[in-house]
Amino acid sequence: MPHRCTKCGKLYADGDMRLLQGCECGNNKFIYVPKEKRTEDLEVQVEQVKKEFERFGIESVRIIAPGQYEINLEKLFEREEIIIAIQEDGRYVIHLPSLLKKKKKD
Amino acid sequence: MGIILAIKKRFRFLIKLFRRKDRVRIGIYGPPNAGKTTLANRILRDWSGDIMGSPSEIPHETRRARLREGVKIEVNGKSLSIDIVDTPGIATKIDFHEFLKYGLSEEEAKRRAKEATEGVIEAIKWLDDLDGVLLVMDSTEDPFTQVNVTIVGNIEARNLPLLIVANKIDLPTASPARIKTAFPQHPVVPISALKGINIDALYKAMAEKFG
Repeated sequence: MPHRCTKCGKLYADGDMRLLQGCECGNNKFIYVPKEKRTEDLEVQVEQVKKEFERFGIESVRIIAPGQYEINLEKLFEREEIIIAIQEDGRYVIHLPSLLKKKKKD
Repeated sequence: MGIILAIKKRFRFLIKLFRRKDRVRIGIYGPPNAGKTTLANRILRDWSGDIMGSPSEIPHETRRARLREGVKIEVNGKSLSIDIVDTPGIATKIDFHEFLKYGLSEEEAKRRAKEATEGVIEAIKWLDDLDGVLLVMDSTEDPFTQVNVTIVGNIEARNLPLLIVANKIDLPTASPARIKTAFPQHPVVPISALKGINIDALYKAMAEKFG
């Protein structure tokens, strides 16, 4: 995998003799780039992550079965209250203490 | 009461500003098995000769947040007093089947899954009471995950100082550069919490970021 010049960003393949002489720009420091993800790959991953989020409805936690949970991180980060969905058939539990609780830690 | 809470929320930054003078509260976050407890132990062992808890290869070993107050860190003659919160691993899916392969009984595995789910909620709630975050990632894993992206995005939205810790660099497949590529907007400190590699650079970065 390539070595990238730390100054101009030019890439050199592994074992390239020019690495020993220094980069064209005069710089002689290189950073090893293990497996640079192509932008298209990253975009696909971003889409996948977005899709994961869309799978959830209003619930912050979904109980699929005893011992199997799906957690909607985005909702948990956004809101104080916790809504639990049971399986996938539209049953919900609203956790009232999380709605009503005054913050004790402050 | 609503008005008081609203006022408190609005002036939270002022409260934080005053608290910052004597002590900063830092949360250690990350996905399960990234090495959060190992890092908390390393920091405590280095500065107070104590430990936070016992790490384990079984994911979700830490299922309650743990707080240690008043740990003094000294870097270049500058002293910083911190409260450390070691939080449970943040995950989007928790399935007891995953724990069965570590030899846990079904009952234990289910209990662990339930507690781990509560732990995720607790970890996120703690964010309201922090002055900074150490986000620990496993350098041998792909950093571009829903968990990491969500945590980073939310910490940015809250304007909390963030330091990304690329852990486990002692392992041959570690690639901290991959983490830097995924989150170029934040400082990334490569370390091995287990072996103590580059740990001084982390303390220096903490003093700069949180001090």
